[in-house]
Amino acid sequence: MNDNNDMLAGFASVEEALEPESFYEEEDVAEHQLFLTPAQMIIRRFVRNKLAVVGTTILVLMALFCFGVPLFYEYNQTEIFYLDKDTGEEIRTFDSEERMLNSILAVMQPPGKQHILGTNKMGQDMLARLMYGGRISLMVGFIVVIIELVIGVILGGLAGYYRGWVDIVLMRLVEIVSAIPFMPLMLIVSSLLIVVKISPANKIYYVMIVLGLLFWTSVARLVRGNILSLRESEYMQAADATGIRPWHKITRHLIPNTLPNLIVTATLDLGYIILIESTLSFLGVGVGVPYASWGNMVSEVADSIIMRQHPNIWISPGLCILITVLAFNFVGDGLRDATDPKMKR
Amino acid sequence: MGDTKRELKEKDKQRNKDLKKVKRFNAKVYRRFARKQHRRVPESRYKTTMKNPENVLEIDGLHTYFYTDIGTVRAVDGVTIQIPRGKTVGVVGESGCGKSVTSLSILRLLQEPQGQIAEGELRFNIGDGEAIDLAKVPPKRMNSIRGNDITMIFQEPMTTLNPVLTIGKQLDEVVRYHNVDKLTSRMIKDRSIEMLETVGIANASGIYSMYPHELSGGMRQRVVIALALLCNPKLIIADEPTTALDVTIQAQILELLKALKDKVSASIMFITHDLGVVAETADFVVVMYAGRIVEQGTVYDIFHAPSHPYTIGLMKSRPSDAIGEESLYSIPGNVPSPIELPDYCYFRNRCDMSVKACRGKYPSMLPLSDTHEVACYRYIKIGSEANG
Amino acid sequence: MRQYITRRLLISIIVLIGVSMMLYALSRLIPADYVTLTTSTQAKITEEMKDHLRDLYGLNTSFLTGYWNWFKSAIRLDFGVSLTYARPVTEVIGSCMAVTFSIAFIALLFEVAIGLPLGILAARKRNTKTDYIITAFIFIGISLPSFFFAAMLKRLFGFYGLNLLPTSGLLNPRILYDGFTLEKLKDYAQHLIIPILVFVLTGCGSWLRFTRANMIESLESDYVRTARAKGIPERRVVYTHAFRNTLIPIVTLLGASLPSLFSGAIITEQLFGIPGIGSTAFKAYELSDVPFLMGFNVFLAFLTIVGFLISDILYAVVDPRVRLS
Repeated sequence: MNDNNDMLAGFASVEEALEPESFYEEEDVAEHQLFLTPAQMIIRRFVRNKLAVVGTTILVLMALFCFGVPLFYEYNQTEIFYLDKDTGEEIRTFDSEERMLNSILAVMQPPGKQHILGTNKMGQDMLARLMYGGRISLMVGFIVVIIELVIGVILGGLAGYYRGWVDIVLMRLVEIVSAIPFMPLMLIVSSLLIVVKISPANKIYYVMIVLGLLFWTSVARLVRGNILSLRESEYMQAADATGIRPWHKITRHLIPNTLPNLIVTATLDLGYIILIESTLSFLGVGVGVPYASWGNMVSEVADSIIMRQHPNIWISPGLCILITVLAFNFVGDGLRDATDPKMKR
Repeated sequence: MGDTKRELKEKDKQRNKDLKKVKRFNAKVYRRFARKQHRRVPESRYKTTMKNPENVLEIDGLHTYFYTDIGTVRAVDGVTIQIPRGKTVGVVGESGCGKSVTSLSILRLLQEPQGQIAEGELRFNIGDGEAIDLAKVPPKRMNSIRGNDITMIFQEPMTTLNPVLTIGKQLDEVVRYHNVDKLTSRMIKDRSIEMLETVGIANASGIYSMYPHELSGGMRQRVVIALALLCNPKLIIADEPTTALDVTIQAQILELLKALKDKVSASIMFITHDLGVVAETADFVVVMYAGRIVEQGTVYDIFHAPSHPYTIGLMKSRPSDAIGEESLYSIPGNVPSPIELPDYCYFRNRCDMSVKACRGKYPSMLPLSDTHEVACYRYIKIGSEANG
Repeated sequence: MRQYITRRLLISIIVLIGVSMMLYALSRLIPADYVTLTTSTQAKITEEMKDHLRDLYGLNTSFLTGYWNWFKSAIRLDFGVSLTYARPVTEVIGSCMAVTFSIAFIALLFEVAIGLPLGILAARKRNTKTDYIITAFIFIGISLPSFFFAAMLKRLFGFYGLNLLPTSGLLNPRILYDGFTLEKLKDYAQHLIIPILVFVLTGCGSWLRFTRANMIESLESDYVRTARAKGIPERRVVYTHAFRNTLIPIVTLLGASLPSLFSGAIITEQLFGIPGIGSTAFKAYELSDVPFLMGFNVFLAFLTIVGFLISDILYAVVDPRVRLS
C-alpha cells in the first residue's frame, strides 16, 4: 500500500517490531579505517604529488651523478688532454705548465667515444667537469642552507621567545641585513678576496659563509612569526595554564609546528642558492678556474666561437642548473602542499 | 605481527587504488557539471509552478554532494522543506549536519567544482503562481536573485565584510547592481544610510564612510543585516547570525531580526544549533541529522512533543534544562562518516530508544499530525493507523 | 598615518646607518698599502687623489673615527675616485644610471603587467589546464638561470639566421643620429627587446606565484562569499573585492623588487654589452676597483631602503587598517 508496510517487512506484528533492541556497540570505526600519524599523512600526500615525485627522482639521480659516478669515471676535472701530432694518441696530465713535445692540446673536441661530452677550450673532459661542478653546486647549497638555518633559528627563536627589546634589536638587524644588495656585495667581497690574495680553491668557502650570513633573515622571520602566533594560540594558552615545562613546550609544540615550514623553506632556498651560486660563478665571483662549477662552465659562452660551434660546452651545464633548481622547486612546492593541506583544493 | 603489517599494507594498496578510482570518477563528474553550466538554458527548462502558492520557497528532495578526493560526501541527502510567506523556519542540527550546505545550495554558492546539487528542485516563488527552479537557473539569472530576492546573513561578522572597502561602498553596490527602481547614486547613498538607521545604528552617516575594522562585532552584524535588507528581499537566510556574538548583543540582534521581519514582510530561514534561539524566533522547526531531516513541525510540536530520539536528546542537552542537575546530558557516540553512510537509520548506533524494526532500511517520514513529521520506526504504529 | 610614516622613516635611517656600518667594516679588510699598490700602474691617478682615498677609508685610524669620516663624506656623496675610470665614483655612477634605470623600469612594468593578470587568471581557474600552464611558466621562471637564458637568446638571435633583432649594444653603431628622432627611439627599442625579455621571463615567475597564491586565499575568504551572495557581477567580485585585498601583499613585493632589478642588470648588461651601471660595476670588479664597488653598494643599499620605505607607505595607502590606526 505504501511505505509503512515496507518498513514493517520481516516482522509478524507491529508489536514485535517495536520490541527494544540496542545497537550501541555495532560500529567499530577502527576496523575499516587506517589511522596515520601526521608525518605519515605528509608523506602520503607528498607521494601522491606527481611533480614532487619527479623532483625527488631527479635530485636522487643528480646526487648519484655528482657524487657516485666520479668514483668510477676515469677522468678528473682538472686533468688536461693532449694529442700526439703523429700518432693521434691521447696523453693525459695534471700539470698545465708542462709543455708536451710534438703534441697539441685536445681542445674543444666534439662529443665522441673517448670524451662523451667532448672537451673544453682548456682540453679538459666535459663530463668529468660536469660531475665535479655539480658537487660544488649541491655542496654550496647545503652548507649555505645549514648556516642560514642555524643563524635564523637561533636569532628568530630569541626574538620570538624574549620579545621586548631583544625582539626590536634583532628585527632591526634583520632589516639591515635584508637591505644589503647581495649581488654588488658579492662583487666587493670577491674583489677583497683577490686583494688579500685568497687562492681560487678556497674562495668558495668564503663565498658560502657570506651567503649564509646574508640569507638567514627569512628563516629568522619565519621562526619568530611561528613562535609569536603559537604564543597567541588558544591551545598554547591552555597548555600554559596547566603549567607545562618550557622544554616540553619547545619539543611538543614549537618544533612540530615550525619544522614543516622550515623544511619547506630550506628546500626552496636550496634551489635558490644553487641558482645564485651558479650566477656568481658565471661572473667569476664564486668558484674559480681550474675548478669546475656549472656556473663558470656556462661562462665559456663569452667566447663567440664556443657559443656558435660548441653548444656541448655551455648548454649541458646550463641544463643541469635548470633541472636541479626545477627539481628543488618541485620538491619544495610538493612539501608545502603536503604540510599545508588547506592550500590544496 | 608481520601478518597484520602485511595486511595493513594490502589495505593501503587497495585504498590507494580506490582513491585513484575516486579521482577519475570526480573528473568525469566535474566535466558533466561544467557542460551543464555552459549550456544555454531556455526559460521553459527552469520554469515550474509552486505546489502551494503561499510558500516562498519549496525545497524538494535536495541532494547536495561534495565530490572530494577521498570520496563523495553526501552533505545533504534528500531534504524537503517548505518556507511559507512571512514565516520563520528554523533549521536545527549539530555542525556538519548539512544545514549550512542547504542554505548555500539555495543561493548556489557551493564551492565548485566539488560541491554540486546532484538532485532535487528548489522552487522559488516569483509571483502569479509561477516559480523558477533555482537548481537549474542559469548563472546570470541567479545573480539577479542573489542579494535581491534572496539574501543571506553569515555567521562571522568579523570576516564577512571586506576589510579594504568602506561600509558605504559595500552597501551601495548591492542597490547599484540590482537597481530596479533606477536610483541615482545620490539616492542610493541616502537609501544605504536610511537602512543603517533602520538596523539601529546611531551615527549612520558617519558609519557609512568608515571601514569594518573600526566597528564592533555587534555593529558589523547590524551592517550585514542592513546589507540583507537593502533590496526588500522575499527570503532572508540567516546562517547562525548570533553564534559569534556576546550573549547580550545576541539578544539585541535577535530582537532586531524579529522586528525587521514584520516590517519588510520577508520569510526567514534561520539556521542555528541553538534551540533557545529557535524557540524565540521560529514558527516552524526542521531538525536535521547527517544530511537528512529527522523531524519537522511547528515550534509547538517540536518543543512540546519532541518525537525523534535525536530531537529528544537535543532538548535534554540544553543548558537551561539542566539547572541544578549534576551534569548536562550528552548524546553518546558520533555522527557516521558522511562518505560511508549506512543504509539503515543513521542515528541507530547512538539511539537509546532503538527497537527491532531499526534493523530495516532508513525510515521514511511518518506524519504524526497535520504539521508534525518524524523519520523514526518507533512511530510506525501511529503511522500505519493514520494510513490504515 | 603620519605617525606610522614617521616611524618607518626613523627605522629606515637606523637601517641605513646599520648597512653603511657593515659596508664600511668590509672595506677595513683592505690592506693598508692597497691604494699605493693598485694605483702604481695607473698614470691618470694623481697623488692628490690617492691621498684623498687613503683619508676616506681611514685605514690608519680607529674603526669609529674612520667610519665617522667616511660617513661624513658619504653624505656629501663623496666616495672617492674610481681606480678604473680615474673619475669620482659619484660621477661615474651618475653617468650610467639613466640607462639601467630605464631598462629596470620598463622591465618591472612588463613583469607587473603580465604577472598580475595571469596570476589572477590562474587563481580563478584553479586546477584547470589554464592554471597548469601558468604554473609551469612559474616554475620555469623561478628556476631558469638568467645568464643561461640570455646566452641562449643571444645564440638564437645572433647566429641562427634569426637576424631579426640585435643582441648587443644600445644603438646601431653604423647609423649616426641627428638629435633625438623617432628612428633613434626605434633603434633603442629593437636593442632592448631581448634584454628586457630576459628580465621579464626570469622575473615574472615570482610575481605570478605571489599573485596566484594570495588571490587564491582572497577568493576563498568569507568576504568574497558575502560579495557573491550580494549578486554583484563576478568581474566586480574578483577585481574589486578579492584583488583589492591581494594588492596589500603585492605592494610589499613592488618596493623590494626594485633593487633586485639593478642586481640583475650586472648579468644582462654585461652579456648584451649595454653601457649601464651593471656592466660598469662588472668592469670595476674585474680590476678590483674597491672604491667604485663601495660607492655602488652604498648606492644600491640606499635604493633598497628607499624601496622598502615606498612599499611601507603604499601599504598604508592600500590597507585602511594600517592607515587609520
